Amino acid sequence: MTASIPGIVGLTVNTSWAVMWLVSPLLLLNCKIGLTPVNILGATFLSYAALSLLWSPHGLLELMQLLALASVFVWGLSLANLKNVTIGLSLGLAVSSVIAILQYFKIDLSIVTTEKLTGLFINPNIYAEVSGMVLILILIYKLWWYIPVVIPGLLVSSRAVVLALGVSLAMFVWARFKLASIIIVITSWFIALKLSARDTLFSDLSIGTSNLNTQSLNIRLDMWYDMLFGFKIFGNGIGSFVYVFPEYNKHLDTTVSIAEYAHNDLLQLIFELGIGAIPLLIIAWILLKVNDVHKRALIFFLIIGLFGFPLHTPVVAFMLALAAAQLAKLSLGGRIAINSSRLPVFNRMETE
Amino acid sequence: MLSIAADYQYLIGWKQSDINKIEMAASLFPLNRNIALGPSLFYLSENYPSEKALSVLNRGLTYDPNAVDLLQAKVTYSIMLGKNITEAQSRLIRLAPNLKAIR
Repeated sequence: MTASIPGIVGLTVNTSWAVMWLVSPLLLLNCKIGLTPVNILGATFLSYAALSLLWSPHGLLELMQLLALASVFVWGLSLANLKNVTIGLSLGLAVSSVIAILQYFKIDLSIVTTEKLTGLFINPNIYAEVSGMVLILILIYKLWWYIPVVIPGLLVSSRAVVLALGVSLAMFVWARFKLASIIIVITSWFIALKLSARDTLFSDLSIGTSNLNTQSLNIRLDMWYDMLFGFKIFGNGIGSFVYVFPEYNKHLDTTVSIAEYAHNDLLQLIFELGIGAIPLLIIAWILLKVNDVHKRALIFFLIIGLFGFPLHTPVVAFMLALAAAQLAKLSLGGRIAINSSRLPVFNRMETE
Repeated sequence: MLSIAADYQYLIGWKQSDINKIEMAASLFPLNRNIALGPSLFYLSENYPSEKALSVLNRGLTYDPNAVDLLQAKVTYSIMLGKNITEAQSRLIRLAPNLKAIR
């Protein structure tokens, strides 16, 4: 799990995207791309996004990100399950957890360019989102020994992550303990509300947490309202939000802060692609209808996507692409052809 | 690879306040907004008006005409250099309605 390479990169280009751009073509070398409904919808979505470059100010970077995720998705179709990937992600996250613990004890880490409690993820909310997503995968594959690696990330107290985890965890126990599921969801809402009222639930862990109060929610609401005036039938073009939104902004002081993301992936997709977002929404609908444990990862992603930008956060989006691939396989009754001539390295990624 | 190379140049460029490295980063990977606007942001942070600064700010505004922070810097520098600000000012007022001082 590549978050950032301290001292080597300036954190402007997320290192994980760079790694995905390098690796994703290799992942596709030995994968068959079948003409399944999900693949066709995905290809339609990507084609429209590419077409929208014609009227987007600058969107090539975002298109490259989507293509990398599509490659990961196609590769994910060839994986029997995500157990080994989850172990790898957990071990990668362990590095960030160790750094976060050192940061908490204020041990000087000159290699880390931020004082915030973020591990290698720069932003505490992103660190929490990654930890939450890895926790879901750990629980899906019952890799109990890896749970400690996600704890530091979850203690940074991101409201969206608390909410999303509450709903996702409730899904784990819903079949057998319905009352417990309801209690989990209500508790998560309660914790999220407490986080809204205070800076952080764990005040002694507050170093590095962003300002978790109602102000951030109000800013989002203002931004979403202003965005509505920028909706167009064909969208403003892929990657256009940061360039075009100022034209519709009426509330934010963009001279001191730039709205790089809408903090709601769905709204941002509609703003940028208009009707071009429909294929992706249909894919989400198809996958949500699949009755499988990986749906919990998708639900987690969708909830944090209502308040953040996980589609633009490479590690979280990477995990989503793989979980979505598992769901897509099941949506077709597991009828995905796997090329038997795959390289040994890819065979090892599979588990029986 | 270009993105990582550009990011490295960008990092050390800002650490050493070296505009050449920031310019090189912008040349290597102009797909990223922050890197592409790096030279303009450098002159903005210098907070010192000059013809060179205005020229780089204009280049940044060609890349992103709605970059309000650059537009504000352009208006400020233009005033200090005694240049006409009418067009830039009206655009700034439109894009930053909360910015009353510039009126």
